[in-house]
Amino acid sequence: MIECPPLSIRFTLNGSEQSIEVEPSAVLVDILREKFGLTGTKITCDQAVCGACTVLLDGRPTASCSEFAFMVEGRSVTTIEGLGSPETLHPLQAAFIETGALQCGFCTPGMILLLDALLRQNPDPDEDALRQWLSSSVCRCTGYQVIIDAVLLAAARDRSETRPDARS
Amino acid sequence: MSGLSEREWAAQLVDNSLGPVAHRLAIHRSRKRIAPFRLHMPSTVAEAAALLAEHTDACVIAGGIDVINRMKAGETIEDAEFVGRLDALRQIEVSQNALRIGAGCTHHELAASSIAVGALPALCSTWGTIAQQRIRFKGTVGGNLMAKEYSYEGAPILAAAGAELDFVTPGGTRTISCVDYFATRPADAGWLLGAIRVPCGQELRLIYDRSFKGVAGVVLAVRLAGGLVKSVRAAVTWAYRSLYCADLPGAPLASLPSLAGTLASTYAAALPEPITDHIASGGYRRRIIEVHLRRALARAGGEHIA
Repeated sequence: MIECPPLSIRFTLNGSEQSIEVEPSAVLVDILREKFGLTGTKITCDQAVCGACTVLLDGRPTASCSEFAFMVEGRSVTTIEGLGSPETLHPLQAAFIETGALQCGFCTPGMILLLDALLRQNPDPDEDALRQWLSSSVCRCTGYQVIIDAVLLAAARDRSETRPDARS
Repeated sequence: MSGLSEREWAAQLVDNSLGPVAHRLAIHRSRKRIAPFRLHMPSTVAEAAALLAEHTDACVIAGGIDVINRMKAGETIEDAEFVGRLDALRQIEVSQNALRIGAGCTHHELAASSIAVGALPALCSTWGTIAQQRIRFKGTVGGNLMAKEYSYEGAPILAAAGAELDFVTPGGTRTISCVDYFATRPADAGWLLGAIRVPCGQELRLIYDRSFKGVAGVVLAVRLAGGLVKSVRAAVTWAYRSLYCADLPGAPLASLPSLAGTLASTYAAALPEPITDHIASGGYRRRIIEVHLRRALARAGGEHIA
């Protein structure tokens, strides 16, 4: 029997410092869901393909189903729970609701985190760039067009808020 | 299935030419199947190499995506060596007419590196198209190669581009061409891939059409010096369970479009039989390779043909 003592790791989770012990073989998505109760991070394909388990690691989208928990030592993890709240929706969340960009909603947390990373990197994405990023998340309900509409709406609003003279 | 373990059953499926996809579908995968392992976290490349020499069966983890997914399918690893925080493995530089890419660089870091873009823009633009966004931020160039998974695209792209691999071994650095490494499969237990070097003194035209992903594709690399073609090399993706890469006869750049049909059919005719599986027949794959190569040669020569 291989002995593998638990590791103590420190990381930032949705803006709060955390220190926990994890087995080396523990996968990040299980820690998020089972230790922290952050069930907005979904598990579907379990092989880094579908996008449902996406979290932001230092601001970049990452498949939490394919990340050992020890690998986030010293890093910042953002889940959907850290992006907005029911009282104060994130602009992407608001745009998703307005455009009806979800049906079952299972892919939505990962989708919004992925697209948040895109908009922070490129506040004015064209549809090609959007489709390129969306190719790493699977939605079985919407057909994607309403998701694209939602992102373009959120991006346009963000630009008009940060640049009041801008015309979208 | 009685009397057979899951793995034996899956192996039998592969033997029956249903292919590795069926293999993966057949195995029950779960995070809960990840077996305990001893974790080593070296703080320098030298320490990592020494650890690997000591634990020759150890699995090197950088981005971890491939390793974790293999472990979910039941692969057991007793010792794992995490090298994801070794900055020395993430450097990109130009040295001695070669772009040196640290094996721990992510796909995104390579594609976006100003040094790499300046030295080999075609390699970077091609590299920026493989995998999807999350994988590009996480998966590493070295991990893509060392997974030795035939469906991954790193090896054919780098082989076509004439890359060499620098391994840190107990006896010092060992350099082997990407083509030879995958062709000869040297006994590499205890070797740590440190860097990948791609010649950059000459213009490189790299043409890769991924539109038949999973079926077959061709990476065409044309090296030019002073406007003259110095070498033409093509590597095949998704048609074999190992790397296939071969040189084509040289030709003047302007002649490539007119010679494309002949060169492509000669190349395709000389191919070993591509795999036949539930996705496509070997004959279909051979045809796809010929068509893609013909188009790529024409594009390399400045023309576009349907």
